[in-house]
Amino acid sequence: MNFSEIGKPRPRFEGIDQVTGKSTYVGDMYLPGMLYAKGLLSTEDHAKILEIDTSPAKQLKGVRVVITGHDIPVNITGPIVQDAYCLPIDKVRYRGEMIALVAADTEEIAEEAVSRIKVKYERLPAVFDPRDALQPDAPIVHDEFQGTLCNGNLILMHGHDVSRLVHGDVEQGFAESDLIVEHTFATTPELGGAIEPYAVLAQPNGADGLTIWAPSQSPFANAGAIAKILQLSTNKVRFISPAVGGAFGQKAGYFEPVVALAALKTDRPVRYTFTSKEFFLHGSSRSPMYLTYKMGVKSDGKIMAIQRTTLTSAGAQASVGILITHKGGFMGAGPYYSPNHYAECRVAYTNKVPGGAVRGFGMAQATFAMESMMDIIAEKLGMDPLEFRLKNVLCDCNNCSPTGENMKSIGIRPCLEKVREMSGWQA
Amino acid sequence: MKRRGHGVAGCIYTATVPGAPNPEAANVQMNDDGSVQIQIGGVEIGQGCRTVICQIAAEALCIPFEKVRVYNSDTGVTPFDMLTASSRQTFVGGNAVLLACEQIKKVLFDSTAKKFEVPVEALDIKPGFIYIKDHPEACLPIEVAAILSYYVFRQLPIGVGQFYPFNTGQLDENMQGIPCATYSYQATIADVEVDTETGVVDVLKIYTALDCGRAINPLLLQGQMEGGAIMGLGWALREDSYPLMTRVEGVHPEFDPATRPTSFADYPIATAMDIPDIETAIVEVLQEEGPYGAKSAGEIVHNSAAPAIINAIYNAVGVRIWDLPASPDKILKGLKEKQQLEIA
Repeated sequence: MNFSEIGKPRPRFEGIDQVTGKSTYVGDMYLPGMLYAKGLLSTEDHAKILEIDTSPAKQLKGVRVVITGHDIPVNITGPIVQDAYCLPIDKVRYRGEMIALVAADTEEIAEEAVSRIKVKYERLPAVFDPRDALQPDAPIVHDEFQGTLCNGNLILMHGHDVSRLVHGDVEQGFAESDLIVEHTFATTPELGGAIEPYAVLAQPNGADGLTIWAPSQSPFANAGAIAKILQLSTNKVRFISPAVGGAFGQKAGYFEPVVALAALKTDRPVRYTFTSKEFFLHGSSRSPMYLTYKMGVKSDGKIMAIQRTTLTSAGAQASVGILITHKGGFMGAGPYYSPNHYAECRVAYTNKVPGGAVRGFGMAQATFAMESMMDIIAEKLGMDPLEFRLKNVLCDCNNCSPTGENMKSIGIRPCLEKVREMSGWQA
Repeated sequence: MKRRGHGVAGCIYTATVPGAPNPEAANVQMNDDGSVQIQIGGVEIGQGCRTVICQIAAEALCIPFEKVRVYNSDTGVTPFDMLTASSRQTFVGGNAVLLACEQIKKVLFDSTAKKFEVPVEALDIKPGFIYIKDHPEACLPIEVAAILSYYVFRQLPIGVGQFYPFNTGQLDENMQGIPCATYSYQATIADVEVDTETGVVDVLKIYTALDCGRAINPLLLQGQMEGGAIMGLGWALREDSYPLMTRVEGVHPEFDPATRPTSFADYPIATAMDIPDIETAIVEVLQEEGPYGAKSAGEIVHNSAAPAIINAIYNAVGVRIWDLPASPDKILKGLKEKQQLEIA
């Protein structure tokens, strides 16, 4: 096929403007009469909220509105299940959770007002590690969703405590194996690391609703969520994602509904620009996982069975943790063929910042475990680890994935052969 | 002592949100001067989707890249985008734009057929022109076909494309089925040097090869691959937003949720000082459902660098890292344990 344009190495349209500082980010935007917002973030990992006294903040000159969870028409949201409070009322579930929002004439006044809000907490025991969260005496993160969204801290996936993958018969595969290896791996909560902290600008448009600017990766989903929370129709929320200073999955919306409400209540544009510190503490990170992989192989290096057990820490909200766990579950055996697969995947609430989508989404964690296993097994078999991989890659003759899909256009073999050639690989 | 080693890792990654319908739409309008404006809901997050979408439209409509412009991610103006994630944009956005471009081409062909008084089937398109197949000298510049469409033959060259990936759906209770529209593949080799006195790992070189189907824009792909490898390097060796918490042997006794990193000063992503030479290669295994055979690239590029580095550390010093990151304390601890084992 002859192309005139496909395959041309074009630089990005926005590239020059972004690296020379000419792009307009939400934090650079200004509208006449604009107010500045600031949030009060929880200093507790897990605590009952006994009282929020906003009156000292409201008395400060230049403060236009103070918003708590009581002011929000529908104070619950979430991308997959509805378990995230815009602003929590009864308890905080992680350090950094936003409890109240102030909009004021200047950023300094807003900051001062936030510092005057008095919150009385009753500290509760907190749980951080998902293994601890599954212990019978573990503190429960969401008491209110027992049996509906979770059992204890286990988040229900399609109504079940555990999501299973069954393909072939792993027990038979292990029985036919000459070598069985089992190990457990753990991954860390990696931040997306976007350089631009999150920011939201909301402008009320009278009967037309409002316009929101934010560097979000999901403007349509955000507009829908804001409409639901503020009880507007979706066509009254115009959401614009302008220049985005890096996202990596970390920018799927944070506090737009609260800033939008502040704009509607004051009938003034309101902008909230996170500081770097706020973005680090409040921004989502890669959901950490524990992964136990058990694999059976023949002495000639053929994989016979792959059994996997994973446990994800979702943080204080399910967010996309269910999907991440699911994806690591069905693709977690990597680009290799095995006649037999079994997987059990679980995801638990913990008192941490809700994990989110970070580039690699469940598969980064699984790839670390699987590729470590491939090397460990190759060494035990006395095989070159690259040859061991080539022996087991998905290919046109062994193209069945763990989900039973017959894969096509499979490029793993040429990729492995290419890097072997490029690097002059010698085992 | 400094010891060198190398490690390899492969990976697979999907495009489209698993089990979801993944709808995507595009509006494409050719103006009466032959220039084209596209509206898509997708967000430009540095991956280059605006540039790639313009390349796809320019190819489809046989017009120069410079004549295409994209306006995006404004829910009041642009058509629906499910979300810019799951490595979707080239695959679903590209297909939606192609469908819209087909409608525009049909209008331009109709107008040209009327102008030349020939059947539509007698026509073909080449860069800049629509022409009569049997008489290639009889050709009409595309911008002329556009203006004739607007004001003479009364049909606007506007296309509305909507795309749903085929066959994908929810997996069954045993997680069996077809979850996603397409799969990409990558392999990475890392060369490292480990300082056995300090436990510090220096990544010397990364070789990486990516199969994401047709490379619509090889420069942006190279950027993705380099960026992904650097991000993976940071995850392998340093990054942890809850330091000391995630450990295979149990949460570290010194873990304190109150002391989390609050800026890039105490959250050490890889900087120019840490980044090795990265040699990239593109392997094209085309998928017919993708735009011009393209699959996806945005996320897969992150995933194989970390395990390749971890495997290279083992190859260098015989220390297996069970939990990330491979920080100097873990490597020194591993070296010590290995030494004690050898003595025993």
